[in-house]
Amino acid sequence: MSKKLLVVDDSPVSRSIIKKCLPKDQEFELYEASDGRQGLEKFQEVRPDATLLDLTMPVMDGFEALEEIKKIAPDAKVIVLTADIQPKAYEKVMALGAAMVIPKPPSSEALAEGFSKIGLI
Amino acid sequence: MNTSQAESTFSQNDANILEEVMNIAFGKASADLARVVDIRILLTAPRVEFLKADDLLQWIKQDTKTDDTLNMIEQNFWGKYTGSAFLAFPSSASKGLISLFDDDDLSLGAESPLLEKETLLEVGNILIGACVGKVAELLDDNVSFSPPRLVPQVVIDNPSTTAISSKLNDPDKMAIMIKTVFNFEDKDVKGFLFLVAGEESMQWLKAALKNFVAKF
Amino acid sequence: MILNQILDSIDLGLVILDRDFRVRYWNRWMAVHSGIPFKEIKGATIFDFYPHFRNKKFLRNFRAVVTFGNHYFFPQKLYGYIFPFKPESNFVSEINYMQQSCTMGPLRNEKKEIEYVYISVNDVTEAYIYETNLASALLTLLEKYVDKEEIPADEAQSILDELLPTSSKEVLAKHGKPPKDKDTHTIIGDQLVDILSEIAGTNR
Repeated sequence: MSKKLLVVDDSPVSRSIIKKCLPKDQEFELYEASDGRQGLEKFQEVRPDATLLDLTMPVMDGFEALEEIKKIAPDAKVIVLTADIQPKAYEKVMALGAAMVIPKPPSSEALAEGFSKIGLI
Repeated sequence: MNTSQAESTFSQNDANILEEVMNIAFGKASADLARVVDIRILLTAPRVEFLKADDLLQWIKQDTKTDDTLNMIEQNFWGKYTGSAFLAFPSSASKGLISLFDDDDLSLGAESPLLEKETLLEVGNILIGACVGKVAELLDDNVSFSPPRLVPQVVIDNPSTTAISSKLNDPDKMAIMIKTVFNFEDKDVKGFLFLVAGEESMQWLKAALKNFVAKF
Repeated sequence: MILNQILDSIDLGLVILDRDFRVRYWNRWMAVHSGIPFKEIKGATIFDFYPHFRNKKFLRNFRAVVTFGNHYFFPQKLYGYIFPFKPESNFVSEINYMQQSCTMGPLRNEKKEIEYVYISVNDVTEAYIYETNLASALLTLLEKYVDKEEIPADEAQSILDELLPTSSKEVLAKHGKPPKDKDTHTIIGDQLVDILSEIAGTNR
């Protein structure tokens, strides 16, 4: 059965890079959002199996979106994708309940490894 | 060349890729700045714009409007991608920036105007170098830098009468401009970073952006 | 071969350090002016011969060069010099050390990793002396006018501010201040201000 995957990132280029890096041997039902607010609405609507979340976004940033998602679904599996992996930011998203942080730009290997760690594939 | 021509050579898709490259580059730069020189900054998502070189300074001034006077550091860089970087921040932020470095081996008094100026230039040099260097790295380029300079206050105060740089002052030339806002985490200081490149770099940049996306 | 000849013939000091601060190259200009031959300094750390490099500012900027590929500039106005060498000319009495403007930058290997750091050393003593003489002449001249009350003091100060924007702010104020010991090898020296005050003092 295909898994529902939500990609929240303001950059269309980043979303397309992520799509290209998804494991080829798996089928995903893909949903996209271009800011935190939209991402939150999409999350409520589709209840994805996993969410890939950017941090720096307009309207509502990734930190806030993560917090809200976790309020709706404490067991939501959220992988944070960011280029800025300062220890402080890392600690913050982990404390907010992120499953893991993958540095940008992602590679196919990193995404596959991440998905298997959270039990998605 | 007019605006629409410049944009037709540099598409919206190119601009989107450039924004993402900048986003990744600046993110990596801020992570390294924290690790290597203990400067903790938060950068907003960068924005790419096209404008006439001649309007640049006015644009920067308008975009950084504060009640305060503005300080600006200029630094040129050259590689396959060649241009100028501008770091602008309110004058009142100077003290905060200077206190980023707690050097114990300075023989000048803390109040020395020369030391203040040189410390600002050092902060500017490190920030600009980190950000531009990471962009170059992502696009497989190496850049060199000329020494940073403080833009004279008189130029900042009268942007309309001054050409921004001899390289960019052809009034009809278009410049690609990338803007980002950064916040110093512990200092409550906000600043603006602008990267400006002339048309000469466009062809190379377009090809480099294409290569970047093709890697995935 | 030819490149080595160039590096040894140019009128410019060139030092190459590895990431552990060990000297990997030291061109003939450096050898001549320092009195330290390449074979003697090769493999030693720069701190072994010049311990003053072990300071926060240098280390921070060295790290920025090897991490970001930054360039760092040691302006003469701030540093005076970073290598304590004798001035080139035998007839310079007022300057004890060659004034230098130096640059530090990255060198990459074939894999594009930054493996070395170069430091280039430019002798700017002559320009410095010229600038200082010019500034002191201007100061002397302005003071004469101020003494004769032909120019108000604040106007003289603003002329200085405009012509010497970085270092003149307190020139007139510092007028009677005793000169600092210029031999002390401090990394940083507000030299123009000091020398101006000094010369102004002796001209009284």
